Amino acid sequence: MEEIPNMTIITEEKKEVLRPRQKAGIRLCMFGLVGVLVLFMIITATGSPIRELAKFGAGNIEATLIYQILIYTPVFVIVSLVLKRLR
Amino acid sequence: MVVLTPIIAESGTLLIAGIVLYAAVKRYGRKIGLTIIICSILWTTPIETLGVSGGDYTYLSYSQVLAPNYPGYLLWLGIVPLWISLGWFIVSLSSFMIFHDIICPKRRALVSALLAGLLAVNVDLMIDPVASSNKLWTWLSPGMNLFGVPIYNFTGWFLMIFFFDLIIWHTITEIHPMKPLSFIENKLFSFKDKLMSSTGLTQRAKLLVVRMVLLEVVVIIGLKTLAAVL
Repeated sequence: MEEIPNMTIITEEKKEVLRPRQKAGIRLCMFGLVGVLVLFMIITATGSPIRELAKFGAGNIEATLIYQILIYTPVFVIVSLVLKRLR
Repeated sequence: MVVLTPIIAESGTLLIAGIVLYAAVKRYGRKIGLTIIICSILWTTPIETLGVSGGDYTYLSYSQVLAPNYPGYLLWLGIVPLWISLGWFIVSLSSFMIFHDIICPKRRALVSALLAGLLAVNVDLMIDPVASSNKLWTWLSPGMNLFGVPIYNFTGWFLMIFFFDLIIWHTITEIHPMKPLSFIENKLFSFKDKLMSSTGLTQRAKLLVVRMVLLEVVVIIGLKTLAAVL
């Protein structure tokens, strides 16, 4: 009996294969998203930290940085996952 | 108030928006990339304008700080600074690419849009408190708030990114029927097939306008209701 090559089955899936140019576009976009986060970190460092955070005990700047790291974490995890999948 | 803060925010966002637009052109081509940025500005500016004219917040905290007649930012779309609308563009397109192209391309568009909305809220949990502490915009009557930012603002972010994500996927990068709107769309247009695959460019552009207007109304009603309740 003739064997059906696996490729026949794979081609039935509707899957868009990203070209290198398109992958570069997505990578650049991730750079943009991280850029926004870095921009607001620069604003914190050069301007005022989040005032309301001081009531939690830590100083303004320390509390703001801790808050930012907590908020950044999921975004950085997702962005690194995207970059890993694009390899 | 640090005088440099609005300059850093505006110039930084304009630069990043340029990079993200170039990324969009590389990923989807020139026509789609430009359509996304134009639609993003048209999508966010009316809602921002309503927020400012309704007295929820103001972008004029830095007006006359740098120079007597300088309104605080260089480029404006009516009463909304251009960099604000471009900030929305950066977040909406990045989250669209993350979930529709990479994380869950085979899942339903609704799932990707939900995740994109949640990611956008996560990003805004950092942007908004820092921005309002630095007076890049000032909330005039925060009500129930988190670090001085009204809770309904975060739900607003979710709604705006969620619906715009659906618009991009259903109308700009691809063309698909939007079931909840199909009753109205079928009255306005005559589609050759149910899957809309043979929809022409002119009809697609009209469809985009109709969908944006209808969903914009939904978002505005949702936001106004939330603002009144919270």
